[in-house]
Amino acid sequence: MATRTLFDFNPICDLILRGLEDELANRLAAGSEPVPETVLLADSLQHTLTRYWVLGTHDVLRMAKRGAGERHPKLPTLFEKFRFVRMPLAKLELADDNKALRDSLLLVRVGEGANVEPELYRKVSYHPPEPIDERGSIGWALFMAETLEPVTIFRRDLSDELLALFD
Amino acid sequence: MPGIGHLLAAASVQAGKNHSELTAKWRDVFTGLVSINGDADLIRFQSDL
Repeated sequence: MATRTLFDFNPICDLILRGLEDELANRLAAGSEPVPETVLLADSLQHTLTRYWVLGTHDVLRMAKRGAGERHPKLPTLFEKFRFVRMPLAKLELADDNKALRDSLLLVRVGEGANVEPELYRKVSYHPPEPIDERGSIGWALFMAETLEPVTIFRRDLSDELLALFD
Repeated sequence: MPGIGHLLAAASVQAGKNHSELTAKWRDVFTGLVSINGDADLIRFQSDL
């Protein structure tokens, strides 16, 4: 099997995702009912590729940031956004959490009715809500571990910001 | 009927056509990332896929 590089697929992955996001945005705008045989597969593919794209791009930026990359005017800030999203996806934990937070933060599972008991963060895997914006882009509703300030980051914004890294 | 691989390849080609302006832009970004710290191995991830 031929050797593939991340460069081979990462941009293609982004372009495919943009297509899927555009189609989802059109479906949402039209208010059309899902057609399980097609739409659910497209949604699953978009979700999977979105996750792959974030994790793969994070690793590229992590390596690029070494050495001289730390002094690039935009790269460290952009990398922090990828790291912030990547942590719950890869580790099922909040980025920058600590013992005090793990022992005190209560989380409630969404989508399981109104009478769900809060659970201690330390005892559960952290799966952030994944909203979809008007562009059809998947995002992650997160919060800062230190301040509990809510932060939502969308894949399309990460992609656009990376594309503008050298502008 | 075309195979799954063929269909996915066609989809990726179409995606490239739909956003052709971004293809060159992505190439520039990855070239720039390599040039930042001079690590030519930066993007050479091998895969057994």
